[in-house]
Amino acid sequence: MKADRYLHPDRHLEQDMDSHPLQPGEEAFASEPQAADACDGSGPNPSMEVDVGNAMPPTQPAHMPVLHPQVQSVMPIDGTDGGQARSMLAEGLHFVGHAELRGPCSIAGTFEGNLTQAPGALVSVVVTETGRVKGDITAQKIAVMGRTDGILDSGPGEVSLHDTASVHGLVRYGRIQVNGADLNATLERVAPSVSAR
Amino acid sequence: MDVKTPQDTLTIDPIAMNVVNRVAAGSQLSGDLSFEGGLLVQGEIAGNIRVNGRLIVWTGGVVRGRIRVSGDTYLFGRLGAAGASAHDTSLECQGMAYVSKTGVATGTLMARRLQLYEGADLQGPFKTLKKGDNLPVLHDVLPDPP
Repeated sequence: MKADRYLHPDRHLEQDMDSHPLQPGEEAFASEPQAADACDGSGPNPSMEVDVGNAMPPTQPAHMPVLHPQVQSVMPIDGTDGGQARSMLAEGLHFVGHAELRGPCSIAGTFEGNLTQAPGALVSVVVTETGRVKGDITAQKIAVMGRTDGILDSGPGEVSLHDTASVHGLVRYGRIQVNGADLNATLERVAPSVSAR
Repeated sequence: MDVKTPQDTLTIDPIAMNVVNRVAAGSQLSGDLSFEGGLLVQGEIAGNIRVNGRLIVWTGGVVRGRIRVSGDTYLFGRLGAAGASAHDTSLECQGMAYVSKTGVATGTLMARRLQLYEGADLQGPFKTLKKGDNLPVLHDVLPDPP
């Protein structure tokens, strides 16, 4: 529970002594969690609460969009979907070829080839934890929890890479969220035009 | 269309985080630099930089060059000069890299894990360092102390 690394402050003791009279037990503040408000204002900067933006919800395997009809209510269905049926590539299916999408799509199996949204359509693609995609994905909204290798192109749309994701290649995004994904990619921001905030 | 999540707030506590070094706003520092303990950058810092601790690049702060950070990195400002190529600046972070919505990274970012908040502007290549990956990518930054 205690943050042990703060308990050996040999290297910063002198500096701290200048500005902060040290109590005999430095652990008093050293053992406080990082978020302790008690220390606020005592550092060199007055306002240390930093608004960093929207975080991603943690991936919850229990609520993954895998093959259960009820996940439809859990999944963030894109407003652009227009109530269209969700296409699914089920776990265990290995598909080779290209697909053109007009509605939302979930990949839980293995997909080799390109996933493209039909001209004029705005679709969302979800690669679930079991999903593997080797090829390019072009969609307005891309969420990856599995593995992809290739170009993820959301244009000015959204890309979210969850903590279980493994993404290699190029990511083109308008808005992106990453939560600790295994990423080896070049990121390229596309100026938002269609989906301006 | 969007599933909104609550705004995240990071609390930066320099004492608990052992951030004992600071480059104040308006200050510029360049060269071969090595920091023992965390570093808060509100000004501009460039060169071969090693931070044995956490690196916090505050809003308005700029970091350029080859940077090695042994702890976490918090990016609220800029990594890499505006318009510079991704090869000019590279940051290797052995911990977690947090890029807030105000953060702009045009350099190469290597980190064990990445937390990127919505609105962050990440342009360059990004690479996650593997657990077993013991070869530091920026080995040549500064010679290790004997």
